[in-house]
Amino acid sequence: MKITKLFLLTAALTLFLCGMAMAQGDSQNHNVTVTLGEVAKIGINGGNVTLTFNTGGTTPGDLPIPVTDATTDLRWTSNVASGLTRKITAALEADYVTGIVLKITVGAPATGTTTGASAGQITLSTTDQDAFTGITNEHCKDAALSYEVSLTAMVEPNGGEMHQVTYTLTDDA
Amino acid sequence: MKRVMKRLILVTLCAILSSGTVCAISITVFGTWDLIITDLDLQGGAGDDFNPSYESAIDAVTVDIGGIHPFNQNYRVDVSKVDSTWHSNFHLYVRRTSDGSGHNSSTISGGITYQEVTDIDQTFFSGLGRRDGITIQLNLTGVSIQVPPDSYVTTIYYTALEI
Repeated sequence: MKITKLFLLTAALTLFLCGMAMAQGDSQNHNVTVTLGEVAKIGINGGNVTLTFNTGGTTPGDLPIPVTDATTDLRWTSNVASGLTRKITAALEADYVTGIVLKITVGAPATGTTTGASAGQITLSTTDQDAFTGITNEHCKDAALSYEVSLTAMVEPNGGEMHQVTYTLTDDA
Repeated sequence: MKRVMKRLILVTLCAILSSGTVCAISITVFGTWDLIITDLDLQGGAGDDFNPSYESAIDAVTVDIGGIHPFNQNYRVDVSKVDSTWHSNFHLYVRRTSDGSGHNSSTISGGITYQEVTDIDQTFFSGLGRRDGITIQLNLTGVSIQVPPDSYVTTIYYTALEI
């Protein structure tokens, strides 16, 4: 009889201890690391731009009227660390002959939302100039590029003087 | 009488020791997921956003369930995460991509479709008996250019419980 009681007691103890073990679990883990790199990509839609002075509309005694073009546009994708901004600068690779002035305006993008703003019309030179500032984390398209070429003095007919305009998406200083 | 008691105590001790061995479930996790997103992940190029979602290798993580009877103990695996430097736009999902291997009478079920990993433990999958080589795939959504460039880290916890 005593043996039976002892057996039941030990059996109950065994089950209790086993139950305690069963109630426990085990846990392991691993990390997930996402490294999001900086992006500063800019592109131009449209090809080369040709601006030709039309002497037909020029009043004798005046300079030829300025010529404009709005057939191209800019697009960009940018992300920066909090508190920083980027801008788009524009520059000529070489100046035109004295008397020819090329101006550009980068318009607000028609596609996408920007935190930036156009610097308005700027006169291009071989020095980088701000054309659009305050860019943060955004992807934008269809920002119209408006070119205007004018004369400050009559120049020799040149048969076409071609220079490259470079747009750069860069960190604000 | 004494002999019987001695034997009884011996049997009990063996039972206790064996119960400790058999009943204590263990989970072992191998692998990790390091995702690097660059401008090559833009949907098209300048003017476009990042691809919004990314998937790990089908077997990025492997889980072993041990410490239990080969085919006579039910268990459940819960999953949750603890963020270190995580972005609130990100959503992380896990799914089980294989059954692993085990005794012919062991089973495994659930977790084969993506489920979001949150800060709270949620049932991932369950089974019967030991199992090795259960493969896990991860999925990240919510990536966009709106998220500042940085290194974001979260830790996924897999918790095995006997049920």
